[in-house]
Amino acid sequence: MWEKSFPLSFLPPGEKAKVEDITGGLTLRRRLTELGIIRGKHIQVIRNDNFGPLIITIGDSGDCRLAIGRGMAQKIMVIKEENKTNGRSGFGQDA
Amino acid sequence: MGEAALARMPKEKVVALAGNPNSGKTSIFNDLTGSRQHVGNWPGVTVEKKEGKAIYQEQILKIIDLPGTYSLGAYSEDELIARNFILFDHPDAVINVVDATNLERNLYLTLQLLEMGAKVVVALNMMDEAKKQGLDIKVDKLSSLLGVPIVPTVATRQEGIKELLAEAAKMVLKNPPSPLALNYGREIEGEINKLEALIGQDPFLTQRYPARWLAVKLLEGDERLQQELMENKKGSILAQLEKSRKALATVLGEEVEAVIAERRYGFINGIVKESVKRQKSLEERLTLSDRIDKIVTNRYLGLPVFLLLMWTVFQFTFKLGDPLVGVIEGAFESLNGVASNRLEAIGAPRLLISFLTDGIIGGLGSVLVFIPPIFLLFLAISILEDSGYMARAAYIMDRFMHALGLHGKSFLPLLIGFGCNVPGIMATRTLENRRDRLITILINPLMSCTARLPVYVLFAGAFFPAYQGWVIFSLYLLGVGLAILMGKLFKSVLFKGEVAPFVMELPPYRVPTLRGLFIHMWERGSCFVRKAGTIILGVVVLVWALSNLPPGVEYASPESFIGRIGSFLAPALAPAGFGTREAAAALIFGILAKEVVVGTLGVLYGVGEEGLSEVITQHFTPLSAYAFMVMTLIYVPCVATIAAIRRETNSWGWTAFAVGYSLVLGWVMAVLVFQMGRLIGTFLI
Repeated sequence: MWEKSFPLSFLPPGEKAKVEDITGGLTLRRRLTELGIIRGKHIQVIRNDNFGPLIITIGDSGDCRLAIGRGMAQKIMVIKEENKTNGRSGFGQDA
Repeated sequence: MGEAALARMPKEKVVALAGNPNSGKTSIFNDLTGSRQHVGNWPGVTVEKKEGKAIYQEQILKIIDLPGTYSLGAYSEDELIARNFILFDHPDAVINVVDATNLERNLYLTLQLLEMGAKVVVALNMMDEAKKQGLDIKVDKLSSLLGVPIVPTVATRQEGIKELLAEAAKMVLKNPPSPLALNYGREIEGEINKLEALIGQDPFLTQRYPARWLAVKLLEGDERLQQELMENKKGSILAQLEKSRKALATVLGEEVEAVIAERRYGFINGIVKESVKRQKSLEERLTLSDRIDKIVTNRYLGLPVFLLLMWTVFQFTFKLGDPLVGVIEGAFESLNGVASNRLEAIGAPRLLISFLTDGIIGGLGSVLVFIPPIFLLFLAISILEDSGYMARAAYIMDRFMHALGLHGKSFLPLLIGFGCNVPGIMATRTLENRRDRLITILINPLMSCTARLPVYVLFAGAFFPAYQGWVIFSLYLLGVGLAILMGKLFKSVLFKGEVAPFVMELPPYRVPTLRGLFIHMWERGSCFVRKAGTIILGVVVLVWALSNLPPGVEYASPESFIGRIGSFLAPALAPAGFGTREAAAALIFGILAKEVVVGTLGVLYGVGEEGLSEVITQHFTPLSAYAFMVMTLIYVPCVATIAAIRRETNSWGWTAFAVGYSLVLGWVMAVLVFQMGRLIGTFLI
């Protein structure tokens, strides 16, 4: 299991992943917890330019979009999930 | 009618408003109280404690707007303020504003309120958007699962507000419920019980806190509460806490805090599953917001779009504002003329005439000329905020502002500073982190505002006619360069170690309501006029007095106090090459408003502004002229800016620091320019 987990910052746009662990300190974890980013939650990356902050959406919570700093995203360890539907894909490396 | 009811009913009940940032809490507050208050899409916009009154069937409800928070831990000042208010002020009811489109995260706060035993009424807000997103929320089901009354609302259209008020008024009369006891699982419950039993034996603690809540919070590692226990010598509880946490860490194999958070979310998940039906799957909904974001946050298009919008804001503010400023200036000039004629006609003493015209009317005028750009700018900012764009701008600029050690949100205040530092500093309100906000305020005056331009135009035109544009541009660059340097310096020296993670909601795009825009513009604009206005007027009158005293002196002559101060300070400016009484006095007057430097030099050299460019060539060399421009750029922000700094930092200490550091920096830079220039000159010749 563990060998498959990697930082959220490496997840390309459109991909989904499950939060496996949060490696940051207490402050960071609390901040993420209150925003609903906890272990077991599903995250979809909407935008990831491999530079600057990412835009993500959490779980099935609808249209909420979060911009999160790259530093923070590096501390969120995730496991990639296969896209079962090929409907919405994120955007980011388009143009 | 409302006033009469207020007079008749002396006893008022307190209703607190709690909710996530962006949940529409401030809109609900406005709807309930009709008060003027800012609503924006920025997370954390409500920092101050705001109060209002609502009347329901002759019952007065005092509404307290708590800071918008995601949680009620001790993570931030805001959370602590909200939490302590509920714990210690015992509001008669708590209206919890919940964003219906974002139930899970919003209910996390609701759950914490219930665990504290608060008398909660839920305002299920943004129901219209939830419907649009295909969310079918069974309000009755949700209400019975949570055990609290729920009123669906659409705050922006004032829907459901009356019903909400009725529910709150009903809740006020009820007895407090027993705190919600979530089941955290056998292992954790065992430790909670042990702690709760110990806490229950301590009347000091049980009076302050619900025992179970305190036990859970302690297990979660709440530093504030642990500290309080330590200060009050609750050794036995702390010892048990230590034991419990160790025991749980081994049994659970992970941190208690994470498990507690998971259980809470698990409970919420269950409730949401039972009461909400999704009519469209997530994949079907590439929302309008996403489509706009595709362009606006695009890695290549994002920046040009941003710059274009900023340019538009700039043009809107100053192109539209300048003619209005001209009108106000003209009006005050003619008012001045009329007033002095009338006063002379009735034989008023010269000093009184001067006080009324130069002092009071002139002072009022210098406050009022700020009104058009400030109101227009805040209108523009409100549009950007309420539409949801501002959060995107912060996202785009974040990568660039990192070089400065600041977040993306600091960019706009700095940009606005090029127009006028006052609205620039006021725009820092959108920054939630105090450190970022202070740094952005402190370096804002280094953005060369338009008021400094007349000084540059005069001196650069007189001394460097061929290179006027480049000389002026170099001053703007110098300001930016110093801002970067100072920003880094302040960050590493003054605010070491305070790192706030960058995470921010990107709310869906919305069409701003006219009512909302007007309220925001008015609230911020009138605030400036009231607060900054009094300080500006005071200083204008003070300078007037210094120029006219001791009695009988010519206005601002060498014998006047200001003239004497000028003569006194002149030697200090000598190393910078402009150690004259006139230059010193002009700089002092320049504190009123930087463009006044030009007018003052005109008066002191006894020529109008027209002959000035010739006269100054006799008193300055090109080098000392450049040093003087550098000084004008950096030294002491103008009165209006100082007033804005005072107002926004809410501290005379930081205000004094801003004035002090810029004065020192200005002097050092001017001296450096002059002395280095001379040194280079001697080598060249």
